[in-house]
Amino acid sequence: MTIEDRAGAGVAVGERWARVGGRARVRGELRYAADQPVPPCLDVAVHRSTRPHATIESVDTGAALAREGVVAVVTGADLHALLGERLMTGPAFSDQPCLAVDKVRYVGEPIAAVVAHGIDAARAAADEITVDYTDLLAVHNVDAAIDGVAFVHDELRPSAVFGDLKHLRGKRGTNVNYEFNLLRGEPDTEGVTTVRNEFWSPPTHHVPIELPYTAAWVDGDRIELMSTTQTPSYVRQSIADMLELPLNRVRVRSAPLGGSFGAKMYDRLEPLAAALAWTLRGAVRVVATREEAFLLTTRHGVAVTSSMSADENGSIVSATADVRYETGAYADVGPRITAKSGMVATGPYRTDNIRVRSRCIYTNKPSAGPFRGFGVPQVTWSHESLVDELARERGEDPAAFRRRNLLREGELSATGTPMHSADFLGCLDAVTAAVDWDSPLRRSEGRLLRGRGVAVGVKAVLTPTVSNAVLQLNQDGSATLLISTVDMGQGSDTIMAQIAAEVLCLGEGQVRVVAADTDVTPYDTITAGSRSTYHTGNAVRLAAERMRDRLVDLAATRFGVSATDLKLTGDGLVSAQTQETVSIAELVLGHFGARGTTLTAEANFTTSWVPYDHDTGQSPKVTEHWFAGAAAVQLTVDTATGRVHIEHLAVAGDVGRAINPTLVEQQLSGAAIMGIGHALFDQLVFDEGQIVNGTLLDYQLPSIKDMPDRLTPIIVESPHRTGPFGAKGVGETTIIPLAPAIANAVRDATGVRITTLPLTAERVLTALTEASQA
Amino acid sequence: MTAPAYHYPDTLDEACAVLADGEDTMVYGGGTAIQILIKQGVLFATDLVDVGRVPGLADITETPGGLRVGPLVTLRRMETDPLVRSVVPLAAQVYGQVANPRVRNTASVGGNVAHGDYRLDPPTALLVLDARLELTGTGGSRTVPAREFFVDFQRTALEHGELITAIDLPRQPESAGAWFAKLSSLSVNDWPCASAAALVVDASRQRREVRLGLGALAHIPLFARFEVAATASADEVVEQAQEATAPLIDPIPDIRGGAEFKRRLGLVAVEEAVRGSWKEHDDDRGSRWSWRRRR
Amino acid sequence: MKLGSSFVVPAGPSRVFAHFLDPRSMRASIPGCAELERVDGAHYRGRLENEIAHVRFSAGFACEITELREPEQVRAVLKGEDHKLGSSIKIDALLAVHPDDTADGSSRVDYSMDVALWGKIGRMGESIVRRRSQEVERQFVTLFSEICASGPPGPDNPALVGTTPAPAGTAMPAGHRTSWWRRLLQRLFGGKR
Repeated sequence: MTIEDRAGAGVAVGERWARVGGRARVRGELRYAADQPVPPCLDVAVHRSTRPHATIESVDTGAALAREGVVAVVTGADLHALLGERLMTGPAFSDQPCLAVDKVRYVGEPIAAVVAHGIDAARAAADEITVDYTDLLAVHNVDAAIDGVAFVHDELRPSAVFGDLKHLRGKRGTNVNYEFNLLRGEPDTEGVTTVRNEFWSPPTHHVPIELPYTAAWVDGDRIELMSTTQTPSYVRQSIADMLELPLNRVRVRSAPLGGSFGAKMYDRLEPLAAALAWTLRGAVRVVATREEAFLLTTRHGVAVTSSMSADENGSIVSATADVRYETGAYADVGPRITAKSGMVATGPYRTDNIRVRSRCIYTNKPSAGPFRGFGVPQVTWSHESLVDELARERGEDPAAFRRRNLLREGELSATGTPMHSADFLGCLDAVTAAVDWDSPLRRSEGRLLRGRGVAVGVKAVLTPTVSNAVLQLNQDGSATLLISTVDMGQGSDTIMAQIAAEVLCLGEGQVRVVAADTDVTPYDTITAGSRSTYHTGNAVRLAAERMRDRLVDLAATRFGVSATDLKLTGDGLVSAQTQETVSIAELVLGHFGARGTTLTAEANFTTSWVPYDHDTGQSPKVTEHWFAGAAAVQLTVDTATGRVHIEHLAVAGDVGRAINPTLVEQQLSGAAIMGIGHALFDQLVFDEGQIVNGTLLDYQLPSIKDMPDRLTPIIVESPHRTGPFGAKGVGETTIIPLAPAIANAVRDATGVRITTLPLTAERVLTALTEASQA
Repeated sequence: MTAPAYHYPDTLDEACAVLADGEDTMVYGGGTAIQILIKQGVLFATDLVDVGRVPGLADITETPGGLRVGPLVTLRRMETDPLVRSVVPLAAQVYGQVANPRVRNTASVGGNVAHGDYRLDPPTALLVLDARLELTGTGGSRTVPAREFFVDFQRTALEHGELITAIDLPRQPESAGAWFAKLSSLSVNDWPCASAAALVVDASRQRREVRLGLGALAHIPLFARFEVAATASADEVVEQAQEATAPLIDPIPDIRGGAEFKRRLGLVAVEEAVRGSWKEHDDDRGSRWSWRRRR
Repeated sequence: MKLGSSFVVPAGPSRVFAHFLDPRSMRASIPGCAELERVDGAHYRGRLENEIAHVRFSAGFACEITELREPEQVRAVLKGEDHKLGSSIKIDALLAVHPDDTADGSSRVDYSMDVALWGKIGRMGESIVRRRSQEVERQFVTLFSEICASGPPGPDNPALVGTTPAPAGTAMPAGHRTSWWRRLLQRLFGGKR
């Protein structure tokens, strides 16, 4: 079947439909999770650890309990007595209790929860709790963790769900909870030009504007949650496991999120809220303050030691990378990130000889988890800096050097999986053309130096995963789409409707997406990793196609013609033979003989993979598809202050097919802007395990004044053979190459290569000073 | 931690009485700083005195010598009010660079300086404009020059029971050159890492006085002044300005930069402020602007 | 956070060193230190107190001497906790005493401290802590110099006569308003207002 064959008859896909809920978001009218009606709830405040690593000798809750308004004070030990080891949750390792048991592993870890009438009473009481600690040696960075100065966990506790982690169960005396290895050819082969370096990307925080929130209450023998989560299906399973309940007695609802970027997925506030509601048989509400949100999850800080070598023809002959992911006190999804990113740690280049070692490492810091890009931006920081330097060592244009070495359609990636619908060349050419790459540059202007840089990025989509869609076609011709994808600003409520509408020839506003509710909407692995457009989109397309077939059958019966004679159009179903036409409304009314009736169709879309080899990381199908993106930048560096100013930033992503070009452009731009922050100043600063800039007074995000003078998002469409109308996701694509593109431009402008992110004014100025003194 | 009690006095006398009465009393102006501290659970005030109902505290009045500005005038109004723009344009320029429009719409002139933070923008202008602050308590009012108001790290000349009731801003001479340079080290919109306001006024006989107010470069806002021949070149004035300020600069290292970096940035801010304010005899401003940072 | 500096004290190294190890001398020198006792040869226990807004505040701390080379060098680890503020502090301090070259009978004290602040206080900002530590050092040096100059440790030292230190903060100089951060730090660590 070709792409054209599967194109819908409608006029929805490729249209710039207005974002669903956009107006309500801007006007403050959208009802977020915390605005949704729930039963009257008690409020929860937690007492937090003031030590990075210590055993808990005792917890004194007496003073807290004595305070007015306090209903209960619950410690980790209390919950452990009730729930046992089921208290320990996590997507890859069952290592995290919602309240610390026996020992604390980071500053700010919850130890005891106060349940009270009103948040003020709860917080005041939480301050009254005292904990007696015995300090343990703390592990503050990956190198100390590898050296084993102390162990964050006495033994590894891989989750029962994953077979490939089974061999790690019970392993003691290590902080390395997972290691991914990739081996191809003879990685020690060297060409005539070799570059090597050490790279560091610091931990960062997501800073979604909407703060995390979970309400949980018991309703008869069931528990219900309303929560800010990207992963309602996961949360249902996690809570069911923790409370030993069948899935039909756990209901998890979400609402449109006010941003997330990976911050609101897997186990965040939900285990605590559910454990408290269930054990107290009541209704509780947990709201994170801004300062608490910084402690919930972070992006991994990553150290990479890497090399790349080219032969005399300028072909890359070998590449190596030793990658250390700092996952903090709890593994969360770190082991998955370690593998997924390890696969692409040497970049999307034709290279026969590769060695990658990628490790996920515990330290005494808040847990690191998923973040837009899933660990890939941190390894891209390494390979795109290296490849740039390799080109410069050879005296070659960095764009031309990449162009020669980039993987083409059908060629094998480092993992042995072929490339498809990953147009690196198209992206590279688009961004370099946009910034007028080959035009002469005024390199010096007063105290400013000017330069250009480029970088590409590759990422594999999470595989295998499962998506489902249920489509209800209402008798009046409108449709209701039931999926568990969560709209968090990426626009899924808009584009999923467009996909269904395309198949069914419906118009803007005729398909409504129901907010995720595990009682109603079917299982979906996660809303994350740019997977929804392709996976859930395919489930939606399949459900809509089944609905279309159903309508065709009904019309064939009505007209007494064969199904092949019928076509669904914007006017309804048309018989080619009789030229008879019937609208959907008339057809369904005629079929049921009643108004307001519904037709239902459902579909599943599941991807499969061939697990990578344990020793070599090789697999003929390690992923369902690839993401390809590029960024090019022209900037100035102020030699007096070290400040970088971006004059033009062009970003491109191969999205297969843009379901809604406006939303795609917004995702390309949004990810790029987030990437500017990571490149220039966005980082979590730690001192002895304490986050020192964990408030919005000190944490740095790009402001309107940090925007480039010009930002050009470019859609590249290289249709995927099994994407819905050829489409793939886009949410992460342009954050991946952003930081190295900027650093490469700084290198171009100043001659200085900086390998530690972010490129703050101080770091740039110091590097310039050192270079001028050398 | 007990939540502070809020008071809403209707008159200045009442406000002063409440301020003097409590143990840890604090004036609540625009609330932009206080609210953050309350949310972070680190404000220990027992009583917050909201002076929003006291009449006359939000007025800007033209006086023979310049302007009298009430403490509840918003920063945004200082930025946009035509009177401020014409009488003390440097103040309008500086107030317009504080934080962002949401903050400027709420934060008050009095609360801003009472906060006493060493990084604030407005004090740099108040110092070079020779502003005077009127402080009022139950015992009456007194006037303190801005140059004596900032006593120590986040400590001001305000005594227990006092509040700021006005800031007197002398008229900026028509012939004066003025500029404000604000350099941040992380996000452009972050707190400054170094800032400098410069005002160049005519002094006696072919000489000019250069006044400099520096922010974020020591534990309090800094002030320096010197006289220079009116015929001096901008380069010469920059050199003198840097010589005059360098010994004063004593930055506190933090996440925004180390002391050495901040010192360098401070001298850049001084240079920018001087170049922006110094009019050479054959002034041809257009040709000199290429050095300036892109914004 | 690393802090460090050096100062000169008008007394010879052995006397200076003896004062460092003497709880009475240290109690009188450390701003806000209300109690300090020696538990055994290597351990001290104390309390930093303050009074703000009619609430008497006190934070307990424990100090362990981990290395001692008389009269040259002492290393100590101090840990304190303020439960209500949800904060704790750990100071790893190294003090070295040398004869001072510039003045006879004087000693130069070099110190370096690794300060870890955990909890709410830890996000207050490094600038506040650094600035505050400068003040504390200044006050400490003044008081400590006076004590060292007055004689050896013990109740007969004129600078220590009658010292049953009042809770810090009661002697507030007239005048300036105390800022929010200053009050906060006083609650945490004590300190003269």
